[in-house]
Amino acid sequence: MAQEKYLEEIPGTEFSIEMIKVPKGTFQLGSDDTQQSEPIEMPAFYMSVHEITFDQYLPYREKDFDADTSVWMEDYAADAITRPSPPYLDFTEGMGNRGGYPAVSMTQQAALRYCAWLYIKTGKFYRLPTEAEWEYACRAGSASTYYFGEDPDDLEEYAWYWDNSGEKYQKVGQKAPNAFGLYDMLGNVSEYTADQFEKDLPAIFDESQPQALQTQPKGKYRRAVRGGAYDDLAEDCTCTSRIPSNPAWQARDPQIPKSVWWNPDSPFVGFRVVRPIGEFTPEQVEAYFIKAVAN
Amino acid sequence: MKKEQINRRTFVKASSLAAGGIMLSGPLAAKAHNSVDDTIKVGLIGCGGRGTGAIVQALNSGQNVKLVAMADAFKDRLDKCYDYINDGEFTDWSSGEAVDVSERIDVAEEHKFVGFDGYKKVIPLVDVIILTTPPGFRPIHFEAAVKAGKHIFTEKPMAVDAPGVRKVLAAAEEAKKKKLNVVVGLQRRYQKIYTNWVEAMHEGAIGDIVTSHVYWNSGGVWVRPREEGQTEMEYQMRNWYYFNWLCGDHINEQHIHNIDVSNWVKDAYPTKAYGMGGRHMRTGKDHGEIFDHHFVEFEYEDGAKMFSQCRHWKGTASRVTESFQGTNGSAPKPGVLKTNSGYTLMRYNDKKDPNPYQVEHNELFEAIAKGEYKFADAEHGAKSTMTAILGRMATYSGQVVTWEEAINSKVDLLPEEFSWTAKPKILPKPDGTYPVPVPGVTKVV
Repeated sequence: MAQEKYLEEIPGTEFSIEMIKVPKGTFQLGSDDTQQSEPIEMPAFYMSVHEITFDQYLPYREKDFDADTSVWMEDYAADAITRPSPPYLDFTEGMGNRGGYPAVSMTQQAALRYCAWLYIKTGKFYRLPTEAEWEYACRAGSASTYYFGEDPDDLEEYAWYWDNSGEKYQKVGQKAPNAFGLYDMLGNVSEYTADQFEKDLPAIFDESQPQALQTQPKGKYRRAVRGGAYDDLAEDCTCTSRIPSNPAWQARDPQIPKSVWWNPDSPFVGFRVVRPIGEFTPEQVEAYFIKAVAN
Repeated sequence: MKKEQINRRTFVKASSLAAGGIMLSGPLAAKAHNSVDDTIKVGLIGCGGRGTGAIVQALNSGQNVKLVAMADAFKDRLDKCYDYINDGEFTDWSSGEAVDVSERIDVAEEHKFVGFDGYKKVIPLVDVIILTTPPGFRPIHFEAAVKAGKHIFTEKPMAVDAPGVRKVLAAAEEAKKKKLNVVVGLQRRYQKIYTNWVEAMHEGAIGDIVTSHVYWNSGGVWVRPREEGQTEMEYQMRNWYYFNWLCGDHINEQHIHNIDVSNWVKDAYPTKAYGMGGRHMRTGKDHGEIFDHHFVEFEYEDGAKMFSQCRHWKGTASRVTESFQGTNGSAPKPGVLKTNSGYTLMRYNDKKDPNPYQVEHNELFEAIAKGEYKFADAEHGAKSTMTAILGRMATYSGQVVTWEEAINSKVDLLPEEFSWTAKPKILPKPDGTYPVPVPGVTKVV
């Protein structure tokens, strides 16, 4: 049974994002080793098949790559959009930024603003996944440590990590996908979620609201990041691996206060987008971004 | 004060005995540390950015630590630091954990000391001193803290000139005799990727080390412009990075980290230095007297060489790291060792290692709480400081400078008197710029 897929062409650019429908289902957050939540009923939603790439990100980052085009918003003006300040050095450390490499080194708030830009361009409510959505999508029906089972030796087939990456991120989509057709959920680059990092997530989790932010995000850091990256060991690239974003990721930023857009020291963190199913008014979408960006 | 120190130590000992001789851990330890008498009182001398970071780490060290006194030359810097640490929630630098140390702050208004002499008033009030002023003051503060018998956390570097280094070395000897724990903020020595790497090299994993390459190439640091009504002393104190009597040049203030790694790996200090440097990008009135780049070839007694480069140039490729060549292999970056045939001997993953800035405080305060004497970092801190100063002497003079000449130098950069109206030894020229060193002309020893 084929899952529903579509290609979101980003208006005014030559790039598109491949979206796939993640079917509804039931799962438990966390693992036997940690705390586990009660069973959660997750509705269906769309998720990008791949991590967002630099090709897809740069038209947002660089005004020159964006055209005054939107499929639903009249008089969209590339000039009027809030965009990142120009980066002052190459944050990719020479790992590449064209031809399918994951976009990295942005703050979580910059990733959220990218989603808001996609909304303004397409009229569709794109956002970062909640931690629960991310873990549900990653597990793809499995309850094991990795979505393919328990043996870290098999990770090679599914993910770029410490043992096979050469300590560099790789072009997206080269390894095997999970059962929901999602690539690079584990390894390659860690992925931002929309949620504040709460140490014991299952304990505070509201099972009736799996697609909502579980707490009001505060400050710039401590957003939950999932999945492990090219520079992580196999044991840190699991369905439940999670870390908080932190100030060390901006250690080399000489500005005071540090940039709201750039993390010069997190070339291992990127993101993918989701699109919830339903009708959302512009007011609801705006309210979401105000709550999620939080500062 | 010495008596109080002994009493506190005795108490810790007694409490572990009371616990039936069991190691202090679990609920028993928690109980022991809840005692009012067991509080480790800390004083902060230097309340700028680094002092603020260091005191949070000290208060977050897992021991019963209280901040009870603070000193800074400037009231606004002291107040800003106090407000920040009281503000409750912020995020640990690398663990991302939420940190709230406000309950560990107990600084009475009369224990906030402003001015050049504040350190004298803080020292008698506390058990542990944190020294985080600009490095020019370090020898004076370190000597006073040792004299008073206090444990010390001190930031690097330890001095800005040879007389300062000699003062620190003398005090370091006294600290050893008094069994005072001294931790120096050369945090790579508390960072697992480095300790594993260096230990393997000490065991001979890649043979004898013949070449070191060390780098601190970055875009530079802040500049604080002159403000209306400032005396020359106040201006230099605010814009301290650019004056040698306060900073010692960036080869000393920052690059010491990488130079120290080479000295640590070699377990030795260079015998001479030869190099070049100058001011290429940072040449304005706001930029004092320091260079913006240095390249130094240091030589160790066994003939091994350390190639050291540091620069503060905006918009250029940054590199802050160390690498080594041995007779049997190489150490291309921290945590990695290879044989000459390319076989990987070590590849260390440090992604989940704890923040070394926190670790150094955890270890220091744990030793103090247990009444142990474990840390004597002052000597290598002072000698690596001297190495950086030797490099500066080589680039400023353009000559080959030996360690012996350098460490015996009589050039004393500090002012005769510390007050807001006193004159620093370096003063602006009529055009507002400062005299800068000229290789071939400048005398450094």
